[in-house]
Formats: sequence, structure tokens, C-alpha cells
Amino acid sequence: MSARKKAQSNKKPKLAVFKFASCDGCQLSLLDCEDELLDVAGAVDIAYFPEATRAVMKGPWDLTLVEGSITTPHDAERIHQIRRQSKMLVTIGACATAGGIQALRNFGNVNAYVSAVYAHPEYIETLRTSTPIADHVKVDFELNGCPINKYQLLEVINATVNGRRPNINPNSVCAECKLRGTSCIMVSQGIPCMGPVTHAGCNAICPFYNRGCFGCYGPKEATNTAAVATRFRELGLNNEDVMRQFRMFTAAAREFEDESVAAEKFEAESLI
Amino acid sequence: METSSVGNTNTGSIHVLAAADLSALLEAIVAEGYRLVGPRIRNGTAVLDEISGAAQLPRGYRDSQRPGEYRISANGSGETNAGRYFDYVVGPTSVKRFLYPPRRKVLEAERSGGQWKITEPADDYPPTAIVGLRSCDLAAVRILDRVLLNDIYPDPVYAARRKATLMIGVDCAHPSETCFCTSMGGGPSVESGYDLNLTELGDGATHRFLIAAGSDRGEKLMASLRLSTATSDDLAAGAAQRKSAEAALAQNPPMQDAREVLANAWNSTRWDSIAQRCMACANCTMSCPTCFCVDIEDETDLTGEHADRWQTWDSCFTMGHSYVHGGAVRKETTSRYRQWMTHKLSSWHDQFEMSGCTGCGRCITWCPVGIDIREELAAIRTDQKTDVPEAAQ
Ligand code: SF4
Ligand code: SF4
Ligand code: SF4
Repeated sequence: MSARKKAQSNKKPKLAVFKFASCDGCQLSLLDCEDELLDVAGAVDIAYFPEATRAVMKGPWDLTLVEGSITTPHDAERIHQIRRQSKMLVTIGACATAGGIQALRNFGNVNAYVSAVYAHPEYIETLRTSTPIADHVKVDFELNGCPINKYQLLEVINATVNGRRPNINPNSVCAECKLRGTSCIMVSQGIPCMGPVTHAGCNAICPFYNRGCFGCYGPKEATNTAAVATRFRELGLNNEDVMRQFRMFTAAAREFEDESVAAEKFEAESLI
Repeated sequence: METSSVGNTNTGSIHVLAAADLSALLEAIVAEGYRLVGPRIRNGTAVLDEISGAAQLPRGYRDSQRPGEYRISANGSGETNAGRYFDYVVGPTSVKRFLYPPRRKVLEAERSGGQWKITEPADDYPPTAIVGLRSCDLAAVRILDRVLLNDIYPDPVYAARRKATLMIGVDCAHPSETCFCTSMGGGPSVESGYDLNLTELGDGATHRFLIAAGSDRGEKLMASLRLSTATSDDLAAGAAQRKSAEAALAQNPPMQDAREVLANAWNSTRWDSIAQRCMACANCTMSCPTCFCVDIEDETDLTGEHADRWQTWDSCFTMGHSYVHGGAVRKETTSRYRQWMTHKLSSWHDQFEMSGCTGCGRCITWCPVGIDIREELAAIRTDQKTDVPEAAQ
């Protein structure tokens, strides 16, 4: 109630949401905040958010949320225009922060994919790689996840509106398992789990359901991927399995990319 | 804090409780108004959680624990222990979870008319009886007491929870490979810190418990039970079980010199080798029953008129733990593991006149890559011996 009151008296921050190569899932998390959406709408002016409103307010924007990765020459240009108009630019989701699932192309030949998929490949103008936004412009904050956690998104908006740093924990998924009281499934069942090297944020959903962490939130702070890869091999994974553990939704995150490439190299060497 | 009734050594004599009367004991505890917590099987692990009675205890189970590996199953060892209640040892949860919860709101603030009104939310911890605490669990409580009660700033919530908790100990019959309580000066049998203590003896027709009270609360409960006086045979059976448990622990490397070894090990080359294996994932510290570090976070709502302050378990393995203005002090895993192990086994003595380690082995079992604090100490000691020139020794 007071959000709206305050909003009427003060000048509200202008929020814009932009999409690049992505599935829209992350920006939809904002609309998924059903209970909180009216408060958000009261606290900020939604200046540009095509998934939610047709209204368009010109920049500059106080808070710009960017979803998706850079995959075309046109987008590589567009992101610079957006950056110039944004006071604070926050990337949301695995695509924007780590290139997304479409970054699997980085490890193959994109032209081969284009000819296999499209009837008229000559109409397709695409880059060889899918890259995170931070490879192109300065990013003020990265919110990881595939998809992002809506409560964390609210926290980022909330922190920005209130002029404080968001409480987003860069520790491991393991810490979340421990806090919620999930017994470690790697230790007690021998299930390979990316938790020890993965950024917290999902509240360790998968181990709770007896499934190893997929690494959706990308690398945690100061990660040691080689150590967990060694453990995976002890648990019976071969090099290809290890490569696949690291080559998922955040395949192009540097630490994960290095480990998946290393696993491929081990495999190639073992075949000599 | 009525320390007189909590945490004393055995005051009463030892009696025998028939195995079938364990439920009667638990029912008597519930009748006193306690919530019952004890080990139960969840996702293939024995966790401490709320239980409804003796029927939920994992009967006939044995565990096997190694660095980075835990398994538990009914009669998995192939031995006949049919119907025994406590033949496994400590699991991933510890008493810390109850006395010092993972996450707790410590205050709420509301702004109206430019004024902040700050309130402390009431703690919702009911009187709780924890059944099946081992010697190392009770040692952990002693350590937490020293840190959280008997220091400059006592933690009032810990104090209240501690007072509201009834501790039912159990002697360990089958220590696991990762247990090393005796190297830390305790176990495998419970010596102190309990309200009631149980020694499980025999199985089938001979299945029974030795029972002893360690506090007035324990005495009172005992008085309500059907008991017989322990015979010399009963006591001999208890002693024999203890001896075999001690024998299993005797294979552990000596650790008495840990304080001195680590006080002089800041530049050991071993830290780098550990850092290659360690993922700084924090499993060890969060599983440890004595690691007490927490993070304090403030949350606001969108209006900025309401704020909550949360206390959450933290770990010296996170970057944030050593963050000071301008950045983290311990950027490398090398220095983070060194901080953890040195504090646990060495500088804890300087700070609290005791070791920070009970030898429960959780940090070894629950480390996903199986880093073993016992082995690392041995390696650091060897390192020192080879590093130091003859003349200096
Ligand atoms: S289950 Fe996975 S995420 Fe959870 S503690 Fe174990 S390794 Fe970490
Ligand atoms: S340091 Fe390890 S063995 Fe010692 S009390 Fe903590 S978890 Fe148990
Ligand atoms: S010692 Fe093991 S559990 Fe502890 S932080 Fe390192 S890898 Fe994680």
C-alpha cells in the first residue's frame, strides 16, 4: 500500500526488460510473481516490457533487465544501444550470463547446423558462437539460473529500488542442501552431482528429489571443477559423461567450458 | 541456565530397561510435554528428525562410512543384530541443527512516521527431547556451550533452546571408519552431558538397555519406568561392548599433537595439495556440529518501510566470510582450508581453551571428495619433520 503511495509522491525508477536469444522463461518469472507484481508495478515505472505491456517509454532506464545471449550481428549492435540508455544493467538467466543451451553451437560447426535445420540457409544470418552479454558490454549484476529464481529477481529489483546490494549468495548448491537438510546424494547414493561447483540460488531442488544437480546456475565463486570431475570418474563416469555434466545450460561459462574441453581432450588422448 | 541439572555426569545408579520398554520411556518423555526427535531413515541416511515413537527408529540398521561415502541398510553387515535400535553411528544432521538453527530471523524493523520500530521475533522452539545422541554429539554441545553461552556475548536463543532440550545419550557399539572420537579424548561411550543414557545390549531374547540418569530430569523419568537393577553380567556385557568399540577406534592415527603441529604449519606445502582437491563447497563446515559461523543479512520489502534481519549458517570456505572493505582476505582455497583446520584443531584452544573438534568424522564422510582431516594432519606433520633442518629440531 505504501509502495504505491510512495510511488505517487516520488519519481519512480524506470524499468526496461529486453530479450535476446532465449526462451522468454526468465522474463516470464517476473509475471509469475503474481502476489508481488502489483507492488513491483507500484514501485517502478515499467517503461519497456513487451511480454507485459504495449506501453513504450524512451530511455534512459534506471534498471534494465536483459535476457538472452548474443547470437546475431544485429544483436551484437543492439546491446550497445541498450547499454548506452541504461543506468544499471542486470543480466538474467543462463543465456544472458553464460550463453545458454544455444552455446552448444560453440563446440560444433554452426554452418552445418544451419544447413541441417533451415530449408533456406541463405536467409540465416548468425554468429558462430552464442555469448553472454558481459562479453559485449559492461554488466552491473548477473543473476544466474535456468530459469532464474523469481524470488531472487524480486530481490534484485527490490535492492535496486532501495539503493542496496542484492543478497544473492554466490556459494555452492551444497550449502543450500545443508541449510534445508537434504542428505548429500553424491555421498549417500553415489549419484554424480554438480552441486559442489554450482552457484546457489535454486534452493537445491534436484538433490531434494534424488537427482544430481544439473549446474543450471553456472559456476559458483572460486570453483574447482577438476576436483569434482575426478570424483565423477571415481564414481564410474567416462570422459564423455564428464564432458556432458559440464556441457549443459551453462556450457559456455568459462570454468565449465574449460572442464568439458579438458574431458574431450582426455578422451582424444586415451584413443591414441 | 540451570547447568546443575543439564550436563552432569552420572548421578544415579545403573539399571536395566527391557528392550520392549523403550517405547514406554519415549512415551513418558512425550507425556512430560517434549517433542520427540531421534534418528530415522530418510533418503538412505539416518537423520535426526521428529519421530512419533520407538517404532520410527531404524531397527536392525548398520551403516558404513568412509571418506566421501555413506551407506546404511537393514542388516547390511550380514551380522545378526535383528531389532537393535542404535547399531549405526552419527549421520549428516547434528544437534547443532536444533540448538543453533540453519536460518533464523533475528529482528524485524518497521518504519512509520520516520521512526523505526525494532522487534525481536519470538523463537518457536518447543521443549524437545533428542534421543540417540552419541558421545561426540554431547561433546559438541559442550563446545557450543563454551562458544555461545560462556563467552562475552551469550546467545539468548541458544541458551533458551539448550535449556528446553532433553538429551538422551546412547553408547556407540559400532564406530564407523570415519569416527575418531577417542583421538579427541572422548567416546565411544557417553561420559557426561546427558539427562539419560542408554547402552543397548544383546538382541532377540537378550535385547535390553542399561540406563542411567545424569540429571534431575533424567532421574524423574527413570522413576516412572519399570526397571531392574543391573547385574554384574549386564555390566560386564556393557564393558565388553565398549571394549570392542574402542578397539575399532584404536586404528586411528595419533592426533594429540594437533595443536602444536598446526600452530607451526602456516607455510606447509600440504595446503596447496589440499586446495587442488578441495572444492570450497562448505559441506564439511555445515555438517560439523561445532562450526558456528553465521552470516547476517538484511532484507527490505519493496517499499523500504519494512526490514528483516536474518542469521544464516555461513562457512569459512566462502569468499564472503573473509570479506572486508575492498575484498576477501582469503581468496585462495589454500588459505580457506588452512583457516578451517587450524581453527578447529589448534587456535580454538587459544580462543576457547579446548579443541573445536569432537572426532565425529562428519567432515570426512560428508566431504563429496573425501578429504580426511586425520590424513591431512599426518601429512602436515611429516612435511614439518622433513622441512625443518636437523639443527633446529
Ligand atoms: S547432493 Fe549435490 S548439491 Fe547437495 S550436498 Fe551433495 S553434492 Fe552438494
Ligand atoms: S571437525 Fe570434523 S570430526 Fe571434528 S567435530 Fe567437526 S565434523 Fe566432526
Ligand atoms: S574439505 Fe571437502 S567438504 Fe570441505 S570445502 Fe573442501 S571439498 Fe568441500
